Amino acid sequence: MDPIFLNGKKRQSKLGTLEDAAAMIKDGTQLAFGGLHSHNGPMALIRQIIRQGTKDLHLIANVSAGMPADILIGAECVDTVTVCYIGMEHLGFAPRFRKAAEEKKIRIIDGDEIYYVLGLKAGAVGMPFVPYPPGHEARDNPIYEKTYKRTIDPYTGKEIIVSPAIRPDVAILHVPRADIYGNVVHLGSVVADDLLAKASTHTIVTCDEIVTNDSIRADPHRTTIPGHYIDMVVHVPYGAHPLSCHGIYNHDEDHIKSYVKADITTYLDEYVYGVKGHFEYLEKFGIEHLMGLREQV
Amino acid sequence: MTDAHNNPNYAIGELMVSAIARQMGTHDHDWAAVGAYSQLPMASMKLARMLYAPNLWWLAGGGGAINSTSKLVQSTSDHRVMRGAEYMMNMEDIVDIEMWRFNRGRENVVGVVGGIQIDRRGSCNMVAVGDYENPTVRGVGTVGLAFGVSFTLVYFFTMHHNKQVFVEEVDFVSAAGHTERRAEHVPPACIGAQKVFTPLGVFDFAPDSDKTKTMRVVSLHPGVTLEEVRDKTGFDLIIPDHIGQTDEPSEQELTLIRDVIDPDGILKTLRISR
Repeated sequence: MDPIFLNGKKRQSKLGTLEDAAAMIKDGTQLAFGGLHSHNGPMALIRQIIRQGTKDLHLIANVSAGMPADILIGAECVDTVTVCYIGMEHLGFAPRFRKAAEEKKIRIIDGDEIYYVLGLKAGAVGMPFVPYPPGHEARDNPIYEKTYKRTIDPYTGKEIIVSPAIRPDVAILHVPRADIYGNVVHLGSVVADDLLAKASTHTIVTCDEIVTNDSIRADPHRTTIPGHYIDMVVHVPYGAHPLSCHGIYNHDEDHIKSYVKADITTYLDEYVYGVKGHFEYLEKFGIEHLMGLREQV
Repeated sequence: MTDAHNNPNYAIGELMVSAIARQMGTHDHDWAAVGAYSQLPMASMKLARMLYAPNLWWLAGGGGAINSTSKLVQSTSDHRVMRGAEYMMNMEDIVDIEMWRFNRGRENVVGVVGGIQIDRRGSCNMVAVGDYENPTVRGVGTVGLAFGVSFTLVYFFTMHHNKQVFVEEVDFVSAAGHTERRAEHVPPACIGAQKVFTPLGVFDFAPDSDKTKTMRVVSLHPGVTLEEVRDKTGFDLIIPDHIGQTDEPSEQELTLIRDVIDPDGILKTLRISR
């Protein structure tokens, strides 16, 4: 528990709604999201961003992005995407990303894990760019992708490759647990969620469970992102569905398979535009199905 | 003659897991990483740690689990992979170690990776088939193959062996093979692609000039002919005087794979094509 607050002042809760959170994401926002593959993506918030009609996003796709990137591109919310990986892992290519890329409907910045992770690290600490060790001249990303540059290493006088710092306007994360002050507890892979919170101007977390501040204080080693990085906390049970929320439920592989095969307009009409909000979305799946995803056999 | 692709005793995926696991036996005390869509190398790492390389450290993709002992699941970053893990890396940890030879260099850092195209020199493409600006197939992106020039060495595995995968020259270099550009720029401590495990056989790389290497046949899986490999490879392989046959998985390996590593039988369901 916090010490007594004096002078009539009170620590402020960061709780908000999905609508409040989506309203922070304007047309043209440089938007990053956490998790990876079919895991820990803020899908309920992404559906709300689509529902509110956001356009021209510069999407900083996470280190291994799947459905979160694909559905935003399929819903025509994205103008530019920074790509490390966008695919559906063992389920194949991400069909709307692939189509938009092949039809040149989106601008692509072809990064990779170093570009993304060290770019965010530079963004987090205010460094202007990332200098690369020798060797990366032998591959094509720094040749074809114009956001890589060359400069002279002042210590050796040799030419080196650099890539830009990445500082997203807004990062959105789905996490298992948070308190109302934004202290986050992951129960599985953190991936780059912590780094995104440090690098981004604003960070929003949606969480499956709101826990008490006392439970955070009871075991501070378990806190994976301190709340001061977090602007807003939204309580969204099953907010990652159909992705997993590590430590709570598995990804919904059958539904993700059906998403890959679906006509995107039909899919969006049924699961995004055709439902009033997150709970109406969940009702389409039913309690038995959703609870079944918790069976960690 | 026994045929690895139609064998009553084992699935082709099980033979490939055995072959990769035995290769990992040369990496006791090293550190190895697998990526996404990597059921074969994940199973291989588990088998290698049980039989051949008890001191191997391995990372199950971007999920970050180190030395997981979970049963095989489809997604490398599924939370069930955390079971038995000794540590969970975040992405900063992963990038640190995958560029590690620059600040330590006591052990080998090994990548076991795939690609949508692999060429005669062992360059690998995950970005685009065709012209980069006008691709006929837009791939997923370079992702961790950026470390192809910082890992000590790389092994490739593929689930298909055909002329779409094995091409004369990749359309986009995500990871650099034994090219002149590699010879010019990449520090020699980083030795690049060493072997390729496909549904047809095992391959390595042999010099074809002062600075470059070409893929060479090491062994063919039981039932596979050299003619078939040549027909399904989009460039001229180096054919050595002696070509071996890939060892079949042992009873011990098969028992461990089926009872401990992959009780759900995922390896038998993989779409591996010759």
